Amino acid sequence: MPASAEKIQLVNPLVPEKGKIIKVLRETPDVKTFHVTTAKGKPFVPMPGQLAMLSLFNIGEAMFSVTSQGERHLEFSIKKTGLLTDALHEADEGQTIGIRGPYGNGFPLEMLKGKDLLFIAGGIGLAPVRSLINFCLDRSGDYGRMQVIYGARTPADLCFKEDLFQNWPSQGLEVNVTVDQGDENWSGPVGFVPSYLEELNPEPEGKIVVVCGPPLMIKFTIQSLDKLKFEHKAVVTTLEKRMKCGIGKCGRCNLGSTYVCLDGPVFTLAQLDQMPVEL
Amino acid sequence: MKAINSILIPQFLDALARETAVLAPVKNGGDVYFRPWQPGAEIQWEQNSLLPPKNALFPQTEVLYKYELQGQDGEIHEENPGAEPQIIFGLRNCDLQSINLLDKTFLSGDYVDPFYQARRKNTVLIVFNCHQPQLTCFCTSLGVDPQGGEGADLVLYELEREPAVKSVMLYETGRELGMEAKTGKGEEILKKYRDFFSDFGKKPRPFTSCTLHFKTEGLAEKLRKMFEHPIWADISRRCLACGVCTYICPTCHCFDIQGKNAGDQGYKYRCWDSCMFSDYTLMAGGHDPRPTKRERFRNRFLHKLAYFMERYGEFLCTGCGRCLAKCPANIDISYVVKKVKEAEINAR
Repeated sequence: MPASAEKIQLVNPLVPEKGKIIKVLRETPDVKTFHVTTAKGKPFVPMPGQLAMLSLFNIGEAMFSVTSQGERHLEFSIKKTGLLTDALHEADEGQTIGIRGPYGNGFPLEMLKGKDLLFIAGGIGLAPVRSLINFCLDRSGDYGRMQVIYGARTPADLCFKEDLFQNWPSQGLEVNVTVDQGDENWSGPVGFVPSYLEELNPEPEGKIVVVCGPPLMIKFTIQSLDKLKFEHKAVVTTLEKRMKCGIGKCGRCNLGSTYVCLDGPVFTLAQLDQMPVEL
Repeated sequence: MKAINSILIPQFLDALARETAVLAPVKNGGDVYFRPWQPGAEIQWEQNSLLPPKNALFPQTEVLYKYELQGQDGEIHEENPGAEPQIIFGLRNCDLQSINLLDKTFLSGDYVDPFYQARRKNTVLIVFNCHQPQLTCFCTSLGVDPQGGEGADLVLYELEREPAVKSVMLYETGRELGMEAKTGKGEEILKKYRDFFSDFGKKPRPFTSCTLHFKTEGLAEKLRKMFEHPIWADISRRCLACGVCTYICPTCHCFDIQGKNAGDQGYKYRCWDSCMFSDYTLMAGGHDPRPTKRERFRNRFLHKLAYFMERYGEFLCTGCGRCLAKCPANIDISYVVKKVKEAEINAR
């Protein structure tokens, strides 16, 4: 035999682990939070901003950010927006689910140390940022003043209301919430995040901004941050793309020679300024 | 170094194929394909294959895992790569280089692809050096030596003093071909099948240059400044987005993961995908960061000529010429390069 069948170690990064949805919480009319665990407990320990591939075997697989974690489970807040997420929203506790990860770089924790932090999020964009907020609150001695600016379409669409209006303020976080359109019970600010941000007029000095939301919201928020004279190296964002492999091989999530799944999803604006950006 | 008479090649392949699966370029209809070698088959020496032998290492579809569902419950059954040893005989240096490039994608970095790795480890590559290009060949422009054999286990080549080959008949009536081992696996074959080989003292026949030629100095750097340039809209206008360029490309490796479900069981498979297809980057909810042909076309050429170079230090093109031979709209990568070189850069 000219070639012999060598023993190959079998660890396929594209094959998920079997997990289970152990809890489903409704956040808004189209967002639910899923608690996922595996037989060995937590499938892996993600850093804030890292991603995981979730799959329903007979439906499909997609990439989600981990919004929080417990001792034995990971939490994903997921908006109903396509084939897989529609099916996930139909799933009950006890549903078997495929999970693989963690993927991506996560937030630059070292860069944030000792700084004042301004978290800006729109809609479901609060999900990845929440992992970072909770991480920083648990180590509040390492960070300066922390502030959240968050907006959603309507008061009903605000995610993580308990965090926004109870948990975070009680831990010393300044939380500013706006909605695009109020209702009879809403007495807070009304308007889009970028204009609300300009109204609040935060001081750029000593501050790192973390921004996440729909592409348009990010685009206009960056314009507002420019007006407020925030430096691009002090603004961090996390991107979403269609992804299949999660490991920089299947091709589709690239920005130039950078793979969002592998080298991202978190980038500073200064980094994005150097890339051919297709957002 | 050894020599083998071309008349003995079919018997040599018969002998190899008795122990290991052999893929060889054979004629099928009007085209050449890599097919499992069978006694009586006829090697096609004259033209390169319609499709590269990429499929042998990175199959068009392959099952990753199977699953069973039982109500809410489910089980995953991972597939074993199970790559049987194989010999790819008669591939050209352009396609050999494409395997070196696939290696960079699938075998480097923190994540190794176990399916590709299993096949790659169990594959012997016998390259056939080119002495004469086809009209669409431009490997030398991209730094590929058509007689280089880099990454091959064995190199087969024509000899200097033989008359120019005009027809397949010359191979059938017998001519000496040089054979050189490049690796231990290659040595092993030469030793094991030594009865087919004679000792040899002649030089290889030189390569006559490609008619299609362009210089690539500064290309990647210039492209980096041309992201918003109007040439992408101009050239992509006639693209039909059929994806044939990506399908026949030896270096294209983008893939999709899809599922096939039947009742309470099914499987997930990986399959080739194309950056030219409209749903390639389409996200749930309808947003698409590359919404039109212009962005897809631009990404394809920038990936080949700039992005892969930035990431891995090489062009993701080996000059095999298949895409320009088969494009129904006559889009030609050498024309794109020409346009890029002529382009004036004002803004970004």
